Amino acid sequence: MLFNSLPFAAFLPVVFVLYWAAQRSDLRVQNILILVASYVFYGWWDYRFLALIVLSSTIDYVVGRALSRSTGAARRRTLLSFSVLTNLGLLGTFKYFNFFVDSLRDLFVAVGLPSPGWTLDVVLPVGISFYTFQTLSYTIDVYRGRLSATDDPIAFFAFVSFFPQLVAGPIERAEHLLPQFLAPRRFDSTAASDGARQMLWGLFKKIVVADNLALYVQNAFSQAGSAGRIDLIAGVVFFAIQIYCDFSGYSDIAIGSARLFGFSLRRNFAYPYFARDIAEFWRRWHISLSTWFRDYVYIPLGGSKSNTRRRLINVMITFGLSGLWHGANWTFVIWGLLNALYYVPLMVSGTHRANVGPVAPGKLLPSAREVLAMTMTFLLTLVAWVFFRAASLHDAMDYFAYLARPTPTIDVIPLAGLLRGALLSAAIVLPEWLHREKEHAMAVDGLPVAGRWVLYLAVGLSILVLGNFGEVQFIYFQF
Amino acid sequence: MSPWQFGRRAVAFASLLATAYLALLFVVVNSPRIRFPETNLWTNQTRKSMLGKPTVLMVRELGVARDLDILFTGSSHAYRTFDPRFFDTKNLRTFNMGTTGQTPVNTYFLMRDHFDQVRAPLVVIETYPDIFRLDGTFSSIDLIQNTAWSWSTVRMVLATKSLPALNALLFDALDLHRVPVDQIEPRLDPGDTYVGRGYVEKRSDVTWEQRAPTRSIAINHTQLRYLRRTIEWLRRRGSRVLCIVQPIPEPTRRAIKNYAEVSETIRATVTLAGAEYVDFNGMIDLTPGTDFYDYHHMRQSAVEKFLPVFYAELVARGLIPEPREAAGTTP
Repeated sequence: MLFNSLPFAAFLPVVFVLYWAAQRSDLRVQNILILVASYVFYGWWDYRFLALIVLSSTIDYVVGRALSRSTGAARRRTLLSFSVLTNLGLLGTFKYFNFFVDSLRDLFVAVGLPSPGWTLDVVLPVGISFYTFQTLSYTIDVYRGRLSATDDPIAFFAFVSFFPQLVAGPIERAEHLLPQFLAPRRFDSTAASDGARQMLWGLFKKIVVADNLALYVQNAFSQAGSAGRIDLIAGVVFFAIQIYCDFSGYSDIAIGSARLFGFSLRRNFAYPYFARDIAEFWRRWHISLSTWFRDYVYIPLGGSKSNTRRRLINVMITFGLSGLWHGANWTFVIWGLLNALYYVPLMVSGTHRANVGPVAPGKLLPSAREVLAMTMTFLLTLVAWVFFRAASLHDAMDYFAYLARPTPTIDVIPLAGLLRGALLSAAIVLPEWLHREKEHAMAVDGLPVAGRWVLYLAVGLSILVLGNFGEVQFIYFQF
Repeated sequence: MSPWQFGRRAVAFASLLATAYLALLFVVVNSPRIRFPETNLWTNQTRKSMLGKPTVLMVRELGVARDLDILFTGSSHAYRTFDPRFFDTKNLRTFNMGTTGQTPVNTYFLMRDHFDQVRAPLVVIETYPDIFRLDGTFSSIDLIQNTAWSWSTVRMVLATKSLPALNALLFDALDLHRVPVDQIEPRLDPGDTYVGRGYVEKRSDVTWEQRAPTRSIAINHTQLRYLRRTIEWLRRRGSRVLCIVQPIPEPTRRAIKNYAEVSETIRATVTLAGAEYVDFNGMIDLTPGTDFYDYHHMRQSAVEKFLPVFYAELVARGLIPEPREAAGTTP
């Protein structure tokens, strides 16, 4: 079920009513309701893959219980290995099998050996990368002793499949979300109102901005060979805005809808395009994934406590894996490694934490130096986004080649489209700039009631009137 | 504030928003000078641009068609492939009920409205896999615009669960200047000729985009459900149903990364519902560019190569009724 669909518009109020009606009953009733609702939400897309979530949840619940009872180091290691291998095995089979086989085939062909003919004809289950990482964090934290294993299977299964963040994050940590399933929830009208506002803003980002820009981006990337330089530049700038609005829009809806049910999810985006360097960008972009890789890959590899050479390798591995997490394609790996290359000079010079906190706090406009820093960072991300968006490395290199020597034959993005794209981009950048010290751009609780309602109506009408209600999935569903 | 007070406030907001939206639609529909390009308002734009498409001509003829031997339906693949002139030479009375972007949801409700009148013993449904990712919005807009509405139309729109389709219905209901269907001026695409009985021929020198976008098809399961319902409904009326996939260029097939899986899913659905399924890809040699005017539609020359193969398959499967004495040219 998509957040931007009519079924979800009916599903959410029904679950809301049932959930709060069950408040007077046992906490388990509410958790069972969440679990059933989450499975309906997921099964709406393809009920067959529910088996994978149930399998993954069962393994990690059982392993968690076994870890809590085991004291022997070897047995604990065996249990953890079982959980990690099973979860990554499922992910590898469904997401990466064909990628590795294809890469192996290319390698065999390159060295003149007969290529293997294996292939696996499977569809990538939506959200598998998200819930696999979420459930893995649970067993790893139990193994490390940072978390006690839960003995409430309903709470655990609901934690793994919690519908607002099941298919595209934020990737929650058990130590943050699981306790919320174990304690009574109270309806907090302030949090719920703010959640509803955040959902509205998320829908605006997705349906109005991302899905309308997608049309121009598709044209620019599919017809790069016929596009002029301005169209090619616009194509990648619009993609930067599109992917931000698509993914952060999803996160806004997820966080907002969780708040309607009394849950608090982690922040996933903190105005990344206002970052003044790449290190800051990565502290603001897909925060739940970045911190996952930091805690479960980078630090176990030695983190920042190793020597410089080792740290460089750790950074490259972490960013490379992060790229691969996004998709089974070398384009994503190169995107990750390119970001690592941007990051390394900051780390070596010790300036990777030079920019923390909001930009130009308390001021309307940034300084010239901040503008320059933000622009440079944005330009660096644009280069990397070309790899992220292109269908293959060959297409990405072609895009750069056409940028250097364009051969325009048609208006890939017509002038009206350029103007419209610029206006859509401004419709995001300006409100977010003005609210950059708040959680989200619709945090307008300071306005008088009438002003707030006028604003909500304006945003709601913009969604209905300007939105693209075509069959556009969220980009991050494929990851 | 309790959850119920919060809920009441949300309902108040939704009602206010709906009222404002309807008022705005009314203004937009009845103010021809206001143009809203390429956004959700494309519903209105698309609605206007689709006025007079082949559907309007097909529906006028469908109204008087009776006692067919074969009824074809599906998307543009159907109405650009099954040339009635070929079947005339075989003494078979045929009609092509294909419409732009028609998906199984749309097919089902079209059948509900028209099948009992035309009553064909064999129904051929073109099931191009790419259609199964759609929700039926585009086709719904076409049908709303170019046919006289019925309750089936409303049910069809609700079945698509699509806001643009619902918009199109609202736009149409609010349009004070709507032209009656029988007075709509036909407007075909460049190079198109309406041959009759639902068939549209594309002029042979027309060439459109040849490169298929690379993608995986995420099947919309509502479509599978409606395909099954359509087949079962037709079988209950005594008709046999054949679902086919017409040939598409090899690069187009490769561009659909999960073609084999999608095709297998459709085949399984069709078989389960008691119909037959034939994918003609691989059964006839056609060349991209030469035989196709874009990345998935056959040129007339390819249609003429394909139909004998198709006819032979019907004969081999025993799906053709006894040949008649004289060529039928209904209507």
